[in-house]
Amino acid sequence: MKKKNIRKALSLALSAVMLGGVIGSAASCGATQNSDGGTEEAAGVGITLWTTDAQEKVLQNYTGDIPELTPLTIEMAKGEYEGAQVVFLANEDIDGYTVEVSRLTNGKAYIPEENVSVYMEKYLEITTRKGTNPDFKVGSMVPDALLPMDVAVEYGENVVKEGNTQAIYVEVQTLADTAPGVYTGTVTVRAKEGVYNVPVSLTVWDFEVPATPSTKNYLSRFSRDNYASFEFDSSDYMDTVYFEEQLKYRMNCYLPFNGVGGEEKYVELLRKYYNWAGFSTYNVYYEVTSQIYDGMTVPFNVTLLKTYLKAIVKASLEDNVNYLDKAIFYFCNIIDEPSESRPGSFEKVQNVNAAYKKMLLDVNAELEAELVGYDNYSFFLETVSETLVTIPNVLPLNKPDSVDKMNSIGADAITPCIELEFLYNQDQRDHAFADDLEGDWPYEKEDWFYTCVSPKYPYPTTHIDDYLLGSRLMSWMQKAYDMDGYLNWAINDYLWDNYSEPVDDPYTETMRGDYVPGDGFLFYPGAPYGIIGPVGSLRAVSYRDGMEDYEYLNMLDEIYTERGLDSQAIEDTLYASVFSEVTPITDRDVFYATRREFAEMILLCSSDHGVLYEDIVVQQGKAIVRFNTYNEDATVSYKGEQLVKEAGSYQLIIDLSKETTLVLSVTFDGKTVETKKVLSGLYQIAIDFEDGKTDGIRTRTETPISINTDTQYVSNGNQSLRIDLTGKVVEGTYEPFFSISAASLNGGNLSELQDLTLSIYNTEAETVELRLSTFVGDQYLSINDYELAPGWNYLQIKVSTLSRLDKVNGFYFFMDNILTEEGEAGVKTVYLDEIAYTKK
Amino acid sequence: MKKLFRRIGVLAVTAMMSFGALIAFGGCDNTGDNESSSVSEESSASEQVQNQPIIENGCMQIADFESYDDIAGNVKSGWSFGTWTLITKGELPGNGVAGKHLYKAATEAELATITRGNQSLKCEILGREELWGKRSPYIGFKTDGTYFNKYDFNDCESVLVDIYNAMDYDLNVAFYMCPDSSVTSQPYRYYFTVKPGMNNVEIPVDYSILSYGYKEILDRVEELGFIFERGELHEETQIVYIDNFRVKLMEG
Repeated sequence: MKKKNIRKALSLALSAVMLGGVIGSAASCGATQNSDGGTEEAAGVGITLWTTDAQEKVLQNYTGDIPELTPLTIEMAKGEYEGAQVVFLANEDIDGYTVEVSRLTNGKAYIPEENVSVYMEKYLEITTRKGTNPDFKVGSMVPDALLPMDVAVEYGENVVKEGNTQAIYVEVQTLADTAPGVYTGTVTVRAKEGVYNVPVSLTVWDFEVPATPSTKNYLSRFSRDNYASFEFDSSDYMDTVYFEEQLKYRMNCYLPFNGVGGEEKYVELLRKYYNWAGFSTYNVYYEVTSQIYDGMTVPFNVTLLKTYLKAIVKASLEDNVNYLDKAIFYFCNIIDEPSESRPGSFEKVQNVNAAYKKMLLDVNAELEAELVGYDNYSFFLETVSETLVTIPNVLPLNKPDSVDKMNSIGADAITPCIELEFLYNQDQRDHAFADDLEGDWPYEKEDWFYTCVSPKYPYPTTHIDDYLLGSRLMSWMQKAYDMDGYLNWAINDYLWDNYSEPVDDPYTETMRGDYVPGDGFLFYPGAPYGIIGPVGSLRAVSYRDGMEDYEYLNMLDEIYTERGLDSQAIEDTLYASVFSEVTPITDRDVFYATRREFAEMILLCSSDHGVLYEDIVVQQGKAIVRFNTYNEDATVSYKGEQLVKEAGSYQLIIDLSKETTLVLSVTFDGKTVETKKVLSGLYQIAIDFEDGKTDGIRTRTETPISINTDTQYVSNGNQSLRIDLTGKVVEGTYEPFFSISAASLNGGNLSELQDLTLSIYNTEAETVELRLSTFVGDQYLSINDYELAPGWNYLQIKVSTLSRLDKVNGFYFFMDNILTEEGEAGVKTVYLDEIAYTKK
Repeated sequence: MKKLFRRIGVLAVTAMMSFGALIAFGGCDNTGDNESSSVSEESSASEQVQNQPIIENGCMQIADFESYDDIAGNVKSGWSFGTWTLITKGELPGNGVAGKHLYKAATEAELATITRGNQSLKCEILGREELWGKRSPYIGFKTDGTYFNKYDFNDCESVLVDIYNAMDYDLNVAFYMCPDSSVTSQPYRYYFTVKPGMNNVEIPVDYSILSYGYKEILDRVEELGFIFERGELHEETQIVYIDNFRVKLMEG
């Protein structure tokens, strides 16, 4: 890696030389072009380039090392968008640089020019410390808005001051009929007199992301008058432009409708957009007004809503399409985040819940009578009717505890929408998404989650002062935890505090109120740049890419289901590579490798020689692999020996100290194909107590440890460690623990680790709970809870998903204070053995 | 230090290039930092003028609609107001101008709507029958705009605006001031009628004839603007042009 400081020193030295003896003409002293796409430039001149993936935010005032130049690499399926970045450091003031992308070709196939876009990234300064990500301090110049490169040139913004970094986002859109394969081309950056070529490698996988998303979301398009402050247009036309642009990012909202034309117009729009690419959800049109309905004073126009619902149902019968299956209710300006601090908010929820239930039942009953005689009346009875009465009434509720409040007030028909960070373990998710709220509403509801000001890093956010990877992995979590939808309160707020005055400059102001940078907007107004409609951002792209990734995950599910198998276990293994509960990793290489693995599995699984892995468990240095073949008539061999199924699946136990990649030969119809599956990285035992040493293990002084030789408590070798976790009679909290120091694992270099595994024997007759935390800097970060069954337990900790690994001092396993029935200090004994790790 | 080296380096290159020009009769691009620095000086001077209050004949301009930049972000609207266009009698802007697609050349008839400078703001107020028809669309201006930065109106005699009504019927308009940008708090309103054609409206800053009013707000006005009627009979888009929106200062 080149060092920026050395280059600057050279720059100064060379300037002095030039000063002393300038000869020659006014010819260029810029870069020369190498055939391999790299450049050699005179120090202090021109630019220095490198490439990175779409998930990295390279600050304009970047001061890190400059990577070697590598090809711009993009991997994607058909029918999606994906991109990467060319980044350059200006070694001098750069006026008027340009960027072009040559035709990307794969033999005779090529990507049409209109499907390759180049954007200049605009930067905003973090002026207020609101986030918790240490890499985005006050003063950071963070990239976000994506200005089309030709517009940047037109508006003279293609300038970079010396010492600043400029990132260029290159995006490719593949279509359903894009030929799979590897495409190559060149990105050419012209700066000063230099011409800089960057090779492009685009891999298109041979499967297609469906145009219609398989899941729901609601990212609210803020009011027309809000964006009119800069777009100068609050008409239906501009609202349609904004809506359709949202859909390109797979972001759904309400239809571009304002009441004009009534239910006929609404249905016309629904018919238009129902199969539109990106469309998966819409908030049914409603109007706020006070109305008496069934003896209740209701804050929305029930009569109007019934009219619209009936019109949608009738259209469904006419077209034989269930238009209601993408419908939700989100009464955002009536009930939203009810809390004790908002007097009357719970009463409103009760009121709306009661009215909503009555309305749905009434509409259903009325339609049952009105539709008799319709040609496909049975379609209503068998399908549409059930959808009607189960239209989710999405209600942002902050914490799972709020669901208890809903139960207590009888709000049994709402769909809880919980802030993501509060879904931090399965218990919380089960609590939030219990199948039924208490009450008499018999219908199932959906499970939604949301982000806004909260959560903050290390949880996923859509904030400016945070990494991008979290917002992409949110959609992976949505799939992993079977959540039906994601909600975000605003994507285009250009006013301060939602309805107050416009911000001075939406392109430089990071805040939209006393929130956090970026909360309230993922788009920018286009009018300042002569663009009709909104301008996107890296954050919008990241969210969209996550929604496209969701389809990969769903596809794999469908392949397994078609084959009669369950993909959950193997998917969980892959999910565990990229997030732990709701904490995403920050390692982008691991992310892209995992995404690639999903893609390869999709490709592999759906061929006659495909292998469907059902489960891979790493335990005590061995990988227990259970799998099947996509084609039931195919045969499988391992190391030359044909395998036989047990209980419907193949099973192998692989010694990871000898091999970490499973190679299988699959034969079908006379043809044999070899498949490989990386099971783990190198397996290494860190501590096994065979030498009698207990270095690396710490406990409280009240908790003694000793080397054990009783073989019933040894999982590997001849010795293990006995830990007598001892309680203490104290006022306040006391938690016995044992810890494993980071220094004892791979020399303290945790960033190279994939997993940490250990064997623990619980000598109690009942389950014992351990809580794992890492000690980071000077504080504990909770990671996970474990329930140890009596006997041996094998724990596997996904180290690669943990944050701030460079600061982790150790892994701490806490237990509640142990006291006897008499209130005296008690003891619980565990045995610890075979502390090991696998590398990435 | 870096800047010094650059400056010396540039001078050296410039000298070298000049020498080259002597022997080769030009052909070199002689643009150097000298020229760009003079351009930037001119730019900064014009920016400075632009950000100063515009006071003419005892009136301070609130909004004059001479460019998109002047008003973008200084204007808010409510209840699906409609669309705005900058009607210009000058040349249409070329590339690189903010909001360039919002400029339209004035027709012969529209020339009369421009009462100051080269442009007026054409407002096409959406007509509705349903719910939105019952709400009054409004357009409001921040009092800390590009060149108007004034919260205290105690020294103001009146507010003046030129409104061209392009319809063939009268329009009822309410002028408002409010102490914060929440449109629901508009304690200060003055109702007037604009007839078809040009209306040079003068709105007294006088509590004695206003609908509501308490003197306290006059020293902390954050927003002022116009509320239009969208009656049930007004099914079509209503078109008005606004120009020369200013406040008349008290003498002395």
